Amino acid sequence: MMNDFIHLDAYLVQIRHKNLHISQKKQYLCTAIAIMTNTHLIISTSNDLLRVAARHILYISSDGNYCNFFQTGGEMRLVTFQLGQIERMIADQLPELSQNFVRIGKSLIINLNYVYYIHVPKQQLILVDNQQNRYTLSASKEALKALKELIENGKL
Amino acid sequence: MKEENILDSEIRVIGGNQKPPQTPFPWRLFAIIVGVITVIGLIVWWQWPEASDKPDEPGLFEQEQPIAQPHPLVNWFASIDTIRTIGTVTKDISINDIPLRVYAPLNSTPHLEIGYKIADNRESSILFFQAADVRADNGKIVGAFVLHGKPLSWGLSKRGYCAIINGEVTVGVADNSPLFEKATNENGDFFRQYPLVDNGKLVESELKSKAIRRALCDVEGHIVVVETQTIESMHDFAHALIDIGTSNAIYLVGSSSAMGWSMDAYGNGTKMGLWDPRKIKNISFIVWAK
Repeated sequence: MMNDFIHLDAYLVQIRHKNLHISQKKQYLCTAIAIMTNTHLIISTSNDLLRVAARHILYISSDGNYCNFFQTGGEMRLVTFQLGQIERMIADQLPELSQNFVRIGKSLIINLNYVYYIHVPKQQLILVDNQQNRYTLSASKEALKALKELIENGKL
Repeated sequence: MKEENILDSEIRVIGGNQKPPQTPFPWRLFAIIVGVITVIGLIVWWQWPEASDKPDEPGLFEQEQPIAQPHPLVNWFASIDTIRTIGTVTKDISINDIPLRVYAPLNSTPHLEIGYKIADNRESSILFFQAADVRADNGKIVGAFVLHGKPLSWGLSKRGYCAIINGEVTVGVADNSPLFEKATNENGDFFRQYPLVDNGKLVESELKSKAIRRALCDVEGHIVVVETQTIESMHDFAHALIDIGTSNAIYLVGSSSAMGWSMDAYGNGTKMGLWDPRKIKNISFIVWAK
């Protein structure tokens, strides 16, 4: 929590900085708002706004130039952003929680909190949400092996 | 973007390398702090000499330093009629519990003499004392000695010197003094003795015993002879000389037996020491003749 305040202060200082470009200021403002609203990821377009609690994000998979947001409880939502853009939003808006999310290859971001089973030879990754719903995903052997080691080593 | 470059075989923890934006360095605050420190430093630097000049408060058991007083000879010199008085004016004073007698010869001509002849012609002198030491083994004069322009002895055994050139007495401390040559060239006199005071600073002596001490002193431009009335060490004697305002002083042959003569302005003469003429050929005197 203390880290949140330190980061928030840093972002607010940047926003007040005279020489900063307006677009950068907007990004910092978004991040500052996200920090203040604590644990929510905000995905805003000209027409709509999606506000999702980080703990409800199960995984995000890419679908061409768009992404599918899979949330606990089985809800899925399509957002008109690429996976790389979503990755940056998570990193910016959830500075403390972003490390719960792992980008796996080109087409997947998962919430580590819901990893239930990894089988490297079968290239199988199973997530289970709070309501015991199972979500079976597929990834490369190398990526799953690395994920397995990451969790084994307890770096997260 | 570089972050988007990821292969299907790779994974990446999101935000793993993320750092919060750096807070800009607070230059204004930094400048203010530097300015304040500079001002404080200048004030301390400005005030420091004054603070160091202030005398320390004496401690509870510490004796307060006495306030410097003008030495007792200041008014005495001023009160002497130096124009009409012919003779030796004396003054008894006490410094540091050491009784001293000061002899100031007035309107006289200083020179050196050798031998006891001076004792027979004492009426022509207003003051004389033994000057240079004489070696007991061979009877030769110790150190460089010039008598009326004629060098009689050479060598540096004592660093103090007295030169009498054209009626002017110079007392000093030096290993080599050009006044030796000058005395030789200008028909003057020169001898060496133990130094006591060098430019107002005490010169420690190798003589550690106590005896009646005599010194030829330069006190604010006045050449005087100072004699202790009690036996004293060289160190205490030199210290007392400094306290009466002596800038330069050399020793004269001391002890209660050393010969001396003093005549006041009224013609009253006083013998000092033993006047039993010993057959020492090279006994020397500094003489102030009428």
